[in-house]
Amino acid sequence: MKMINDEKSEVNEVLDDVVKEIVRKVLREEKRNYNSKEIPTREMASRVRIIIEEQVK
Amino acid sequence: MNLNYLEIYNFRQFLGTQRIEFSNDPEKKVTIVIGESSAGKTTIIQIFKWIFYGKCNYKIIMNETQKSEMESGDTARVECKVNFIFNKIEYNIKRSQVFNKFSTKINAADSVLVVDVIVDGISKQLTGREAMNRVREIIHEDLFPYFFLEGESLNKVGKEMASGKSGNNSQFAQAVKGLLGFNYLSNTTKDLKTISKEYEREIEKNTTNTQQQQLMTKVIEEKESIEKYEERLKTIKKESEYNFEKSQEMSEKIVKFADAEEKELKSRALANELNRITSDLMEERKTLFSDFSTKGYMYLMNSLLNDADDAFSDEKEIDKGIPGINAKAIKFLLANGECLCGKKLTKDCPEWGKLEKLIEILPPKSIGYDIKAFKGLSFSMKDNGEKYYENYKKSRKRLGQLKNDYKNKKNELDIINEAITGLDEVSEYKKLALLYKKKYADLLNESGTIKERIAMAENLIEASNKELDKYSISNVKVAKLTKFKLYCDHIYGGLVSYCDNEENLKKKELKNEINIIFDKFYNEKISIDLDEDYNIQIITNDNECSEDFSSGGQEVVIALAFIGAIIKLNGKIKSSKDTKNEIIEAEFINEIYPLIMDAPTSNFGMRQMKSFCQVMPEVTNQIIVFINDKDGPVLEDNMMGIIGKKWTIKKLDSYHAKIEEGN
Repeated sequence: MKMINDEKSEVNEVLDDVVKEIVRKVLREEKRNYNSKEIPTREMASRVRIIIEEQVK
Repeated sequence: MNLNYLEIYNFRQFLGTQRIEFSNDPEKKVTIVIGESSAGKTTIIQIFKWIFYGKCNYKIIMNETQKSEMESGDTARVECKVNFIFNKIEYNIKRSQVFNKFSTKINAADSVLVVDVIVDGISKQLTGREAMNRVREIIHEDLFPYFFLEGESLNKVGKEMASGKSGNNSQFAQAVKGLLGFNYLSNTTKDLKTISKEYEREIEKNTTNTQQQQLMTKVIEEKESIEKYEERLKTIKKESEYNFEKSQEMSEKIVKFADAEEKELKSRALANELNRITSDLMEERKTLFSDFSTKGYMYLMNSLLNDADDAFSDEKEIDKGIPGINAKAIKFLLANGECLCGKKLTKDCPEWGKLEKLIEILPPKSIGYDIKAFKGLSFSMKDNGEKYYENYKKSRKRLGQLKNDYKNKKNELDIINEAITGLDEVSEYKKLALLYKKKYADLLNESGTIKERIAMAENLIEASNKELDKYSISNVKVAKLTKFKLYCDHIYGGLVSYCDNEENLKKKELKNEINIIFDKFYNEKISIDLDEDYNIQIITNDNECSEDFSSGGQEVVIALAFIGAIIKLNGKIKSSKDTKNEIIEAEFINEIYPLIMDAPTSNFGMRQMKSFCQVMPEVTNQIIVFINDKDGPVLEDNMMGIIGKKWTIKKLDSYHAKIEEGN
């Protein structure tokens, strides 16, 4: 992703794959929820947080 | 998305099973459905809405005959089905609703949605929430009104856009964002921001060391300050732009009066000059009329005199008289009986006879003499006539010049007078200009101060974070939370920047596409400008077109141009090979949708109708037009060659209609 590559922080270089996976999963979840409206807006943040914490060990 | 067919069973006026097939031929992509007023064209759009979302504008969807024939204990069913291809997969979406009559009351059960997903001939059935979610994935309810266009919604969308009321939060702006794929991205950034704050609070809570806690509190406070500063900066940006524009406007007005004194002197000089020209004009006219009344006839007689001269050209020899002698003189000699030479005249002498003959040819009886006199007069009159005409031409030329001079000087005077009209208002403009400039300068100063404060806050946060890093290493939980927060902030920053860049880019593309469609409707005489909140501004470059534009149907054109542009843009996104943001772009909605339009041309003139028929088939793969029977033939003529299917809705009575293929 350009946004990641543009950053020069060492952390970003190391974490690039993890970040990509988070972005992929979060966007799918958000998109799914945008269509289904299953999860109330206020709960979506918790869902996203779970995704981040699952990926970042 | 390509629609194959729609099947209707007992829905309102459509009793029994009725079916419409839609053209999928890429060369003949248009399906037209013609029907007289209230035959059921709008009902069909409502049927699509009912199938997809279980909603429609009607309280009662049952057919009236079916309803009236029901007896207590009877059950009736309404069912509609649409078949289409979406993302290379065939779908059958069916909704049905059962009605039961008890005594005199009819109860409606909940409608049931069933989605058949057909891949390689194998059908998989989805029901309940799964079916509902799939429908929303295919076409989100928020976007439905922009592809299944009812006449009213076209007008409404167009009016909203034309009057500049499509603010960032309006239904339309949200729908555009949805169509361009930004809605859930924007939800994601909001969620990430919330999570980041949560992490911050938890880190603070889990920090046991007092100094560390103080640092955390500091970081949170500074961040909150930055948010407030940034909000204020946004307001300042808008306010300063407004004040700058206003001060410019005032300055321009003031500049117009800068040389007012000079202009006033010139105005007086011009007024004097105009008086002089007016007096010259009057004098010249007087001379012209006076010459005409005294000499004009000579020129006008010219051709008559020439004719007379021609007629008398052979009469030179006629004059046999003696110059200076008339008949009276001869009669005197004869009466005296003595000639001038002294000879005695008697009646019997030969001279008497000769003299008597002379009486016949001498004036007043001599024609020759008169002709000669006339010829002399004719020559003089013709000569004077020519001279008069030469003078007349010169006089007319002078008059023309004077008139031109008058016109030019008058224009010059009018412009100057207009420029110095409102001279009294200059001082007011000057006051306002000063006010706006001062406000602008104050805002710039405030903006500078805020930016400095933001920089200071950022430095403080950075320094505090460095300090906190040292503590967090010793605290496992805080270290973990800090790590999560780092990821969260990083992804948030990346998505915000992606959204901003992409949205701006797509807005520009959208504007271009809208203008391409506008050009085809109005021959480059009308264009639009699109601001950052999707507000539309109409720019008319031609008076004739401006009249045409205000003559009706313009709202529909605006809406069609906007929707057409979005569909085209969506198609472009799909064909884009730019993979630098492949993860995000993979999530965009990229399907090209058909356009289903109910009475889109009802307010169009002939020219707009032709443009519609030319432009709209270019924007998408499938077009379904429901049209009034009066407009039908015109649409058919203009879309000749690209109509793949034609249906007619025949109104049988107030409660029944029949769909038939062809006329």
